[in-house]
Amino acid sequence: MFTALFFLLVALLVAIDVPDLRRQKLNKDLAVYTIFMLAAIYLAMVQFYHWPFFNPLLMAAMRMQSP
Amino acid sequence: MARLTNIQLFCILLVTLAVTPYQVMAKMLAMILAQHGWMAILGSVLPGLLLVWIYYYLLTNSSRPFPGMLEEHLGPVLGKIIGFVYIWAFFLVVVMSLVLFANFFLSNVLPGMPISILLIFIILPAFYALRTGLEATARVVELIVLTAYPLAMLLLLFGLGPETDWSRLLPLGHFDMAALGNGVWLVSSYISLMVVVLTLGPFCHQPRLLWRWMLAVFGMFLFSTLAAVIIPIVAYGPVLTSIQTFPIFNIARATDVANFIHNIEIIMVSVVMPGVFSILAIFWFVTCYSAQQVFGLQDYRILVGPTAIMAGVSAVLLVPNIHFLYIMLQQIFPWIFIILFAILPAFMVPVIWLKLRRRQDSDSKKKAAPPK
Repeated sequence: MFTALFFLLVALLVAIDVPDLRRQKLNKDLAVYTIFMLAAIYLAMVQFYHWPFFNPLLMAAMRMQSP
Repeated sequence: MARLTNIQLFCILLVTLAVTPYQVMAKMLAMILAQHGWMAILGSVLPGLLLVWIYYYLLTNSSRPFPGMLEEHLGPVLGKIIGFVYIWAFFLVVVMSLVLFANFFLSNVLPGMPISILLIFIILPAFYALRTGLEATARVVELIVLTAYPLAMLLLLFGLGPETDWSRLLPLGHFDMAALGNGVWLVSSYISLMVVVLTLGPFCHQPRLLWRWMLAVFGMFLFSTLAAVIIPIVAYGPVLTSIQTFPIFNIARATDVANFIHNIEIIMVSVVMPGVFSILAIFWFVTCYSAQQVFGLQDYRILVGPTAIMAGVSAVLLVPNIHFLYIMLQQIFPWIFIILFAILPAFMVPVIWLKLRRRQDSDSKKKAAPPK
């Protein structure tokens, strides 16, 4: 359910942003947009399906916490 | 190009500097320095003034906003690489603001509420503000600061109730110099969030007069942080302040003026919420604008959508709870802020100075050469 809602949100954002970029033939902008959107989708999948994720901040914090 | 008035830039800088320390600095300094926490704020005056000078020097000797000025002074390759790092540093501040806001709400106001709902409520208005443009965001921030900042200070002053004991600041002597250095370093790291002036300064009407506004912001930051650190100590004592999650919120909760003004914590929440919105919107804008500069995009606004999702998810992923958040706020983020927002800009000052000097030398040689 949550995944479906998330992809609906992604589809909405793509529908708002991408047609303008394609109309103006801004290929570089479209490529950067795609990379950022794929990164966002990956992070969301990590959260939804508990995929392994390297979190350097948390690892450093765990080392620093007092016993 | 969007234009900002000086007062708008002043408000933006004040909100980027003051909001996070207002919420967390009292606890962190009480943990490090107990009743001497306020001394660290006074000790950070010199590093703060140095940072103001560094930022002003970079602004007046660069033609492009940050991080474009990195390419201007360090060359296109190194400039783009460091600029890419800055995108994620600014994004980290966005995530930090979101996590702080969510934890503040979950621990004090709405315990048990799903964190995702809280994050959506704060991301949506910032998303709309950024899509509308910098000028609209700046106007909203201006309104927020002019109304919320005096209210936030007033709420602190209300905390000086009958249980106030100024002797809790004593003894003045007998403090650890290493702890004081640690405190000064911590406060200075949060002062370095003023780095946004490098990006937003060139949008200003009169960039040459910015030093006055930056000094004014720094002065107001010192005043508000000093009040936010001293008042919980005189109200609760250093030990109780250091173990509370958000001492400022407890000050608002305990406020009772003549049995007439009480239960005002909701006003505190309504002050903190727009403050968090402001710092989120500003650093989110700087993130997207940095990405636009580094990748040479036509408009920063296309990145607002993907980064909104990334920020929301990262806020849940990166920091699991408030315990680790405080460790990060106290021991990890200050390192990142000091290195990227203070040391690297400071390193650019001699680079620019040498470039200017070399240019002056070659100009004077050209003038001195006899005409052919």
